[in-house]
Amino acid sequence: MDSDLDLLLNAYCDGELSPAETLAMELRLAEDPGLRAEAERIRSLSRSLHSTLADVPVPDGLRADILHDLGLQETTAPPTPTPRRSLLRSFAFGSALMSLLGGMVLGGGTVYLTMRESSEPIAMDIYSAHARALLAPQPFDIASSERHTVKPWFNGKVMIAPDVIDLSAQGFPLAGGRIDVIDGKAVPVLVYRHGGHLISVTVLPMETRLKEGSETHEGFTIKRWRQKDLLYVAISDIAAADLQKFAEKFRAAEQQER
Amino acid sequence: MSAFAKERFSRLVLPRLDEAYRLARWLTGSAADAEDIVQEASLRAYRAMETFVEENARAWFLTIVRNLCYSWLQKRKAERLAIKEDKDPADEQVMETGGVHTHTPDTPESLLIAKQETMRLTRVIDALPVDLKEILVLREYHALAYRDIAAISGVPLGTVMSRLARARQRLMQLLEDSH
Repeated sequence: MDSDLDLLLNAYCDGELSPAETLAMELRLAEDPGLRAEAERIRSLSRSLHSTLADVPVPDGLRADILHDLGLQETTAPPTPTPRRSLLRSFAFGSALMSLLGGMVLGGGTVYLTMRESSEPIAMDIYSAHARALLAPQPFDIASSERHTVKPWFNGKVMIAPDVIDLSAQGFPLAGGRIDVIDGKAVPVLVYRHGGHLISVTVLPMETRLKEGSETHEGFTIKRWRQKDLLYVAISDIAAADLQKFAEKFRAAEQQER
Repeated sequence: MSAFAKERFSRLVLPRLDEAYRLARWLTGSAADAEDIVQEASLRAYRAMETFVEENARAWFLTIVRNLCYSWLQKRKAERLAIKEDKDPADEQVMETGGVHTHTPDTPESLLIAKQETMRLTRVIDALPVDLKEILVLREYHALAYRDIAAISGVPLGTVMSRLARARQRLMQLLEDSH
């Protein structure tokens, strides 16, 4: 394959092409099976690389050593680390840290961290559900790129009937839907694709105690926003700027609904 | 150090220690040195907290780690030349990480294969030249956008693209060869 095309194909798989370039590439892919196979090789390599690269265990004492070196302390002890599930663990702790900012009190030489309300377990539920979906043979309960198939599927299964937004023209095709149990309640989750990556959009009742905004942990970005009496939480390992773009497109399309 | 700097450090740097450590581990190929590098990087970040202009703290901290890894690699290279150490760092890595995961009878076949896949992939990643490896890790593990990778590595966007494509090509080649 000529090298310019190879660069473009890599950038396409990474979701780094402009809309016009993406379209041009998709047209090429449609008529070139060899190119499609190459794209699939790149994506499959990316998936194995991500899990291998993230699998490196972080030494248990690293954080404590650094805090000690700098004369800092924390009153909240980090959870006992286990080398295998390090991705989940460090996320749990990192996200606890982030949500604690509101309640952070500063005092002579000591940084006190206190738990802030109950938003953290919900955020953790959503993260765990997404992480579990990535490990499952299929990240969704119903696979369909057809919004009119996905929307009725939720009927009678969950209390929220989300609008299933079609964003394939914007580079985020619908992959399907699933049901997660968040904070003890079954809620709908829309699953989108971008390059070789997945985006989960969890739809929650308005009153869910989660703040709007963004966070990034361990390569996962989370965006939360409220719209039309619902709370949306998008999570993915795509670049933060791409998830931002996704959230903007989603909001704009949702605004057009009904 | 002021309470302001401490609060900033807890908020901007502490949540990123794990990903910083993994970057250092992949770039240096050494768990012990990665630990030293992250400690040093944290110290530098902490000292800069008073005056740091809050923008992209993640890219900023990863840049410190990345630069320290490069200094470390240069120092290592000089030392190796001085003591005529002829062991290849990739071989050392294989000796450190490979070959110890022996077969245990109660391990299911599928798990064993998955584990061997991870080890094989680890070996071929470690064998990549550092300029390719750096771009690859920032993209595949940190999932950073090309422009952030360009900023951290101090190379133009086009170089990020060509190195990433080369790194992936090289890996696919190495994986095929090692079958």
